[in-house]
Amino acid sequence: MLAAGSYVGWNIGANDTANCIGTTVGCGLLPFRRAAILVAIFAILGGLLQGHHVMDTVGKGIVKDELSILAVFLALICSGIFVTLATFFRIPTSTSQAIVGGVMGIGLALDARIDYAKLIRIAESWVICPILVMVLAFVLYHLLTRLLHRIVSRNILVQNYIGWLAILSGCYVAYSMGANNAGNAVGPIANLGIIHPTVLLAIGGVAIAVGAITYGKRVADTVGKGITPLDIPGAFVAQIASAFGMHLFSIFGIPVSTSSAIVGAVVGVGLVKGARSISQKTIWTILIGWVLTPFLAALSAYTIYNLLNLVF
Amino acid sequence: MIFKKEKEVIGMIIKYVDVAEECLLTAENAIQSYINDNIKDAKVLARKTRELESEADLIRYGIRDKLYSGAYLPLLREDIYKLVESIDKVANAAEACCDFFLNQRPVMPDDLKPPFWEATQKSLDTFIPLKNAVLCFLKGECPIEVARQHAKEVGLHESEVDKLEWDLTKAIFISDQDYSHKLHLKHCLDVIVEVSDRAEDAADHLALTILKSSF
Repeated sequence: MLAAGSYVGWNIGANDTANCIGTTVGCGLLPFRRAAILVAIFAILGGLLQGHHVMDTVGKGIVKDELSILAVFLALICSGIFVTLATFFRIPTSTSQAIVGGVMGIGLALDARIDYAKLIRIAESWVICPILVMVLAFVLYHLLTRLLHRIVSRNILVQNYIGWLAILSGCYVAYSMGANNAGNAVGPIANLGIIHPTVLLAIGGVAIAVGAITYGKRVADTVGKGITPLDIPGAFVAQIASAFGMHLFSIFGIPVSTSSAIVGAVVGVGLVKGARSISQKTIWTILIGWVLTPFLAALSAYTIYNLLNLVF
Repeated sequence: MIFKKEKEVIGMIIKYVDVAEECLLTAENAIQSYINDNIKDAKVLARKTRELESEADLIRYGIRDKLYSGAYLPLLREDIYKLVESIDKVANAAEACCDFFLNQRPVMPDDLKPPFWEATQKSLDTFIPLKNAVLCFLKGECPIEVARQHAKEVGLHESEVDKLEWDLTKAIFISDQDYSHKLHLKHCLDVIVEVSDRAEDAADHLALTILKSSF
């Protein structure tokens, strides 16, 4: 179980690192290795200091009945495999989407009570979030441009300030990722009550950190370079728009994915320079990945659980 | 103070550009003295040019050390140092120009002296719009479009130097000098126009850095 949780954590690190530092690495502000180390530090801190909030929600959110160890294990492994596949194909997918899919598949296989209203609300946010953040990034980039045009001193020093702000916002997103996703990784295990939650969160945080350093570059390249070429102000606006958009959703109590937010934000920034500056192929690959990841995680969890029941 | 190192780097670059400008002006005066057959003054001025170039080098090393001790983000650091290096090449070319005149002592026919002086003046003066562009961008006291305009002016100056070079090359080769003498004068001209070529390279680099910071 612990291995499965760590695997999910590693996946989160590998895929969601792009949400924190994809834009800063993409515009060349930081080399990947250094950025990944920053993510690792802040993700562990976030997991340890604030990870317990989410840990309580994940295991009990969608499926209302208690899940067995085997069911939780399968949900984690099935979601993890499809996130690994998405990472392999350089798709910034939402790990939460995969876990929701995996838990949903298990819930269906067990014929457990499923909170469909909550599920629909989550699924709606998967669609609305990237679109709204895209609009937000588009508007924000325009506003920032106008504001900076009024300031005469748009020299290299200003660029340096903006660059640092982009890095700091990346660290903040990494902290939030640790706080939010360490719970995602080990939440289902915590519900079993075998291991102390703090130890679990530490394991979740470290797993995310290892994932970021060892396999985070592929998706970071997609977010930072694959969708549209980003400059320093573009990277900064994308980070801010995604953080601001997520904060806005949180105020309305809608759960959102950092992956969809950052992809929406990067597209919004790209649109300022014209639709042609955006790689349609990358966007279609990401969209297909977003649909397939939770669906396949649910299908595989459902099928494997039923097969195991038949065999044993 | 926040970003103290960064501000210090800007101060050092401004100082560096001032010294480089003085180096070019001194080189120009040295060549003028040489063309006017005042070799004694030309020697003194050429020595001063070398000293100023060395002084500029020392400032450049200081900028490099400050940059790589953590001033500016790595991406910007590289741009800044490349810009300083490209300006250094202009100062080096001016020093080489002085050295050519004083070491090789090209013999200038009287009728070619005015066009040679004009080419020298135009070529070395390309540094003026370059300096304006660099200061405008670094100090941030004028709109970025003005900095770009100054950078464009360097290119226009260089085109004028090219035109002068073309005319003077023709004048050299239709004159009734020995072929070896013609080649020596042509080589002298190449060394002179090298300054404006390097200034244009520096302006191109600056224009790219400005574009990167544009929104």
